[in-house]
Amino acid sequence: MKSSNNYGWRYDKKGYEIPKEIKFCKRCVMSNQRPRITFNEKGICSACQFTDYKNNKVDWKKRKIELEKICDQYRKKDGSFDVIVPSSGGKDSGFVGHYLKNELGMNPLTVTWSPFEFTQIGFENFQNHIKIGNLANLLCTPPGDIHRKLSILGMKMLGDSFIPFLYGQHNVPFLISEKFDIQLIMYGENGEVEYGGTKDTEDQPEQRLDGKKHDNIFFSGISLDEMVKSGIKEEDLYYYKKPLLKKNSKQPKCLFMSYFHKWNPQENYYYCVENTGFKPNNIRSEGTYTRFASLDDKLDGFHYYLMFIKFGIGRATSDAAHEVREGHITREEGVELVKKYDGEFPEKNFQLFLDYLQMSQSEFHEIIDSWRAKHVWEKKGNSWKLKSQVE
Amino acid sequence: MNVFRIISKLDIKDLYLVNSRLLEGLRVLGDPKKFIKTYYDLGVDEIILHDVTASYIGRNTLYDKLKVMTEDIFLPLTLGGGIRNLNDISNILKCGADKIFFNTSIIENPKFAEEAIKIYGSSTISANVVVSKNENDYILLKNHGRDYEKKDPRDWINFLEDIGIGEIILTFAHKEGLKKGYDLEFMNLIKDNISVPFLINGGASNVDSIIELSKYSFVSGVVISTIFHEIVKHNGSNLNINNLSQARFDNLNESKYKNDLKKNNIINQIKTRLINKNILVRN
Repeated sequence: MKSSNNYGWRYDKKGYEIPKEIKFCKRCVMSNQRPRITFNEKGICSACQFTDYKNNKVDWKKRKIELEKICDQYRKKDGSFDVIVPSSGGKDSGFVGHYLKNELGMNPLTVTWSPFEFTQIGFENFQNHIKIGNLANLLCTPPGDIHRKLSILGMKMLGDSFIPFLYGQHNVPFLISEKFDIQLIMYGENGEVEYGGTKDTEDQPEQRLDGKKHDNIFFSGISLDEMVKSGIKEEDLYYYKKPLLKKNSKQPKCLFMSYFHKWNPQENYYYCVENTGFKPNNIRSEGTYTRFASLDDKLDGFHYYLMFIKFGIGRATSDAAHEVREGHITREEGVELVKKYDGEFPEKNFQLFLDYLQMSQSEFHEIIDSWRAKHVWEKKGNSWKLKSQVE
Repeated sequence: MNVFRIISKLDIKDLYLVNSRLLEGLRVLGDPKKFIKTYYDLGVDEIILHDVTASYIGRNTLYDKLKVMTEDIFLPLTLGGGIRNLNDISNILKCGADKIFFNTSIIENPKFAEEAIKIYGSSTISANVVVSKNENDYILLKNHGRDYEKKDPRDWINFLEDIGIGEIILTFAHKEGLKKGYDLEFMNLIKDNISVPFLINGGASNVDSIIELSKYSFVSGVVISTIFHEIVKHNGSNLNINNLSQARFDNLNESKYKNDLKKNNIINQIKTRLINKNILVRN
């Protein structure tokens, strides 16, 4: 085990291309520590710049016509499914599925890749999007052992036990597309442009990334091959891998709804309360002030917590940043919310998380501290403090 | 016999009127002043203003603007949200409110409620009791429904009555904004034990749902947000709810919406139905 003053060694080893001098966007509350985000000369982050673009420059009526034309190409009339909507049953994917079916006359199949451990409210919403939202669904759940092994590896190698979830979330829709011969996949938002990341996909309806860049964006730079090198059997990864294409067949078309329809999670919430029986949690999620986002998994608080440890960006920062951009809250309010809630430890399911990963508390803390970047954190007495916070 | 009161509640955030569903997704509707004036013109009995983020953010923005916001109206006014000490109460009353209501601060420090009642009298001090249903249980919420307290809401109501609270606003967090009616199951659980004025908030769907409430003799009135705001919104034109900068310049076509609203005055409809049921209302 490394000594306690050697914190951040795993962060260093990973070699992120992230500036050492921390800056915060002058308009929202996001920092330049978010991987791949850029700031312009006025100190405005790429996500805020994109918000200006989508509010002022994009002709959304034209985009909707584009979508209608695509739907016309893919719509099937024999009752079989014509579009896959990767879905947790939450407000965003619920909106996409319901909108495609009811506004555009498609016959969507929502495909859910199981969370590690469903929350009660998550399962209720998942059921409601099927029963009240009237959407056909396929729930794909990996076998327990391999998922746990990949999570343990993810936690140890990357400081993110969420990794197997990300593989499946990304690749299972391709598997189902192949099995059911559904040539269109409709994702929700293009997170890279909506929340800050590479700007080069701003005007792309399609998800076209592949190779190293693709792995960086979707899997924190760790491809499944590296999992194999760490002792996972190749054949156990079937459910996690993108299927190999059969001869003469082509990749399904993968689109982002956020290209065609102005993306606004709060509007999606209102839409789903009305149409798919969606409910927020009874109380806010740990680490943030919101009750309606990322509700379905008991363990995902740790995914966000590790993000806070690595980059100083917690769940409240992410939530507040996009709510500021969308005009639901002011920056001042956002700053207060970040100060109050960001980085709150996900206490409620800590034991469940440790049990799942078969990890002791001290092992957990050793991993946590090894991901604390030195330019982000300092230790004062016995407690860790962020070196700079949004003001 | 008590008068059954029709009260309009406006949730304010950063000086904008907001609306929500199940207390979440705070959506900016516009300048509260115009809505307040409209409800006054339509004949609402009282106004409640709620600084909805004051408790969970920990700052108050509403007091200073209260006078301006309510200068057009002459109605009993209750204000709440983020009240933490006696000084806050004094400031609010100085700004023209007749009553204040508590939620979070007295759950965390019940002694504060007792102190406030002793100094300002029961008639000035109300409590907003926010309940939600969790499986088969009811839970007590604070911080505008973002956190919960390990207390049975029924015990909490009894406690508030015991210390002499002037009025209780019961808010159904799990019904708020859905426009699908109230939690009558909870109403039935508490109906025999209430001795203070009791107002019900969260769930109004239409005139019928309010008449249904009036059957409970312990209920002194109804507190309405969503359905009133939606009526105003749908009668107004170009009310842009998409972002704050646009909401700053509320663009209601006043003469049009006022005529439409008056023609189809929901508050009159509610009061007429109540009178027909021999329930007293304020004229």
